[in-house]
Amino acid sequence: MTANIQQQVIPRQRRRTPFYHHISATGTWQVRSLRAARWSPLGRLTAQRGSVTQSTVTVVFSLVALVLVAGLGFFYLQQVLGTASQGTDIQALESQLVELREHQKALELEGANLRSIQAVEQRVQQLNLVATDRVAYLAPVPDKVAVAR
Amino acid sequence: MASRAVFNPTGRLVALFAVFVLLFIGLIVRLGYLQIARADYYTAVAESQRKRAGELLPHRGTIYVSEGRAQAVEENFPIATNHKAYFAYAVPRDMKDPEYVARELAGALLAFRTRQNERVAAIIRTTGQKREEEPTATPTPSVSPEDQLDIVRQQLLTKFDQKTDPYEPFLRPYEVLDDEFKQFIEERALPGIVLEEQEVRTYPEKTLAAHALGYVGYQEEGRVGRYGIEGYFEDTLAGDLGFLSSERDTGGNYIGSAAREFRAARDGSDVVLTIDRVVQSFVEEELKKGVEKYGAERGSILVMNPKTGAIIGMATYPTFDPNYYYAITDPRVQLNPIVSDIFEPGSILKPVVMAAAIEEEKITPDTTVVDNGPVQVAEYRIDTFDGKHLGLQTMTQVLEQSNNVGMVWVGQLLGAETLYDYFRRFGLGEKTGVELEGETQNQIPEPTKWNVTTVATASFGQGVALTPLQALNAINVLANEGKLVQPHIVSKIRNADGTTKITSTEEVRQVVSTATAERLSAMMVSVIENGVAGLARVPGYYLAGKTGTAQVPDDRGKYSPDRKIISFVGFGPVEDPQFSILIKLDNPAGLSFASGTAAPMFRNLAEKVLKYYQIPPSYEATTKPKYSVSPGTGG
Repeated sequence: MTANIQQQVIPRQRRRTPFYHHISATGTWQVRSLRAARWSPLGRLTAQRGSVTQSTVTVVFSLVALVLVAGLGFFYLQQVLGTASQGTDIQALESQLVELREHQKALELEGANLRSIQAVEQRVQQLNLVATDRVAYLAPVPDKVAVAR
Repeated sequence: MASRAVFNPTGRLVALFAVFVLLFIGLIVRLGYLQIARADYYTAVAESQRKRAGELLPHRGTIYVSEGRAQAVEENFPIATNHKAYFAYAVPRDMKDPEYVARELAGALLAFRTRQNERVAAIIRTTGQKREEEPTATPTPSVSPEDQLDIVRQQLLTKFDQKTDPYEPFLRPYEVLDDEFKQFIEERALPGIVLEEQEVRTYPEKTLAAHALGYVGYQEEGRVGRYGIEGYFEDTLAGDLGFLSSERDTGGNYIGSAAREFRAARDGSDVVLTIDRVVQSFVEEELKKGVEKYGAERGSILVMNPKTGAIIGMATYPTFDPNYYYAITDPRVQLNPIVSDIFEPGSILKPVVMAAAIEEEKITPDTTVVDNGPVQVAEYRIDTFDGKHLGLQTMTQVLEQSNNVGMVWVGQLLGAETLYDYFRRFGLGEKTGVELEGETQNQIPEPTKWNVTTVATASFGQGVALTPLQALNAINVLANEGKLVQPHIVSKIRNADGTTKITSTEEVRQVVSTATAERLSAMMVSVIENGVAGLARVPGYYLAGKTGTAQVPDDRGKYSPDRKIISFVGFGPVEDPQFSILIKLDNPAGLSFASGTAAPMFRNLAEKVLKYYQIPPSYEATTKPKYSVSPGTGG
């Protein structure tokens, strides 16, 4: 049974000088002046005696992790969208390639039709050309560029 | 010490909370139902909106012929290639008013069919086929135009009046739209009438080398090559199908980052033929003139390079247009008789028998035989073709005059075994293996089944059946220093991956010695210079030749008195043969012999080829022909 001892509870008082808890190199907790630690990132996180800076670390870590995940996510999205748009460009080029090949085939076919025997024979008649009748073969003469029978 | 107020939620808040919980539970259940129970369904719906899968069609390989043998660079010309064409069909389930569509379409369809019939009729005329009445889908001309239109409209309405039908053709599968009909369909945009673009085969040179090419026709809803090169090289020319499965966006474009399954189509290989386009045109021109002039039922000409076995020209008349392969009156017109028909060659086989006898040293070109009249062999009486008997004849004169009596004597010297053996060595009685679909396998009976009559008739080319290609290939042996080479019609095959397979000359065997071949060549020159084939002579050139007039067996197995096959084989220039020619005419009209029909055809064709090849003459041609021979004097 607990002794009925009258106790006096002293409420916490705000320190006159802002302070923060610091973990020294030896691992002990120290109370340091906030003013002195103005430039320390942890100096401003704790403004009250007894506040839990470990949660602050956790929050900070969570925020950093969130930023990282979001960043990676956006990077992935950018890559996927970029690939998709490049695929569209490639497809457009492929379509153009197909069109050019089709055009080439059409030109080849048109050329074949124009050079067909029937087309040539018709053209020969239109141009009033005549077939060769008698052909004379001349023996090559050295040092001569023109010969006549 | 003051007491703090304790939070005590009221009943309404509890109820509101319960509602939210219930809604949340309902949402979870609904999500579970959609994503788990109906997962397959919605996955399929989503994929059907995005995913597209289908076969990739390859391009059929092109077939080329060459030209420019005398030039530095040989040029290739496409003779069978592909082009885009339009087909039309109906989707009756998309028609709200089939009667309207039928009424609007009937007039244009009737006009299209009329134009088609005119095109078919024109092709049948120009290709030499006999015109016969053909059953067509259109009404006969005796029906009035209004009734014709009404009949077509009714036919269309019967096809279109099917509410759930997704596909209904109203044209034949091979009917390509012409420009007028295509323009009509495009402009009218009739509901349920679909225009579809497809790649089809086209032959820019039309009837040129039709029998060598074959055509691409329809078979069980698919296009397939038939006859000739198109049939023989169907797998090579067709290529392989590809496959593509991927996702598309709302614009119909493929999403590059999405998963895809892709297998590229392999285009067909291109085939380059040994046929020379110019020689082929000479051949077809001369053949058509000859068949029409001499009233033959059918004619064939084959031109080869005797040293390489390459087929330079190959034609048969009547012919057909592969672009309109259905424009025929008789399916047999599409067969290539040069490789598929067998016939008794007659006297054109005499040089082969003579070569066998000289090679066996039974005779020489100057060996003599006495022809005093017909010779009796068993129960048969064998006479010369013209009934003339000229007494003492050398072997050269026997060939010059195509003397059957002299040949019987030569055949009896050889005997059945030796004669059969040489026939087989010359390549007779077996397929040549040429790259054309439809080559016939003929057979020469074993010598044990021969009798004295067989020996006698075989010695002048009767009783032995072979294809025209086998016949000319055998004569090529004499033009090629006694060597038999493999005939071929393909020069090279170019694959889609860039590799090329070139056909090289394949020597099969040495059949007779070079000396024997040279002797026979000289004897065949004498046939033209001094014999019955005088009309085959080309002044200035030594050409070797032999005429042939063979009887044709009838259905009873006896020789018909009315039917004959006239032929001529030749090659030249004899000092360095560059071409060999076989001409065959089936049943020419009248009392005609090869010396007056096929021989002048050979001369005309040989002149053109000699000029095209720029082969100078062997001697100064006299201004006056050595002989003046009128047709029908012998052969």
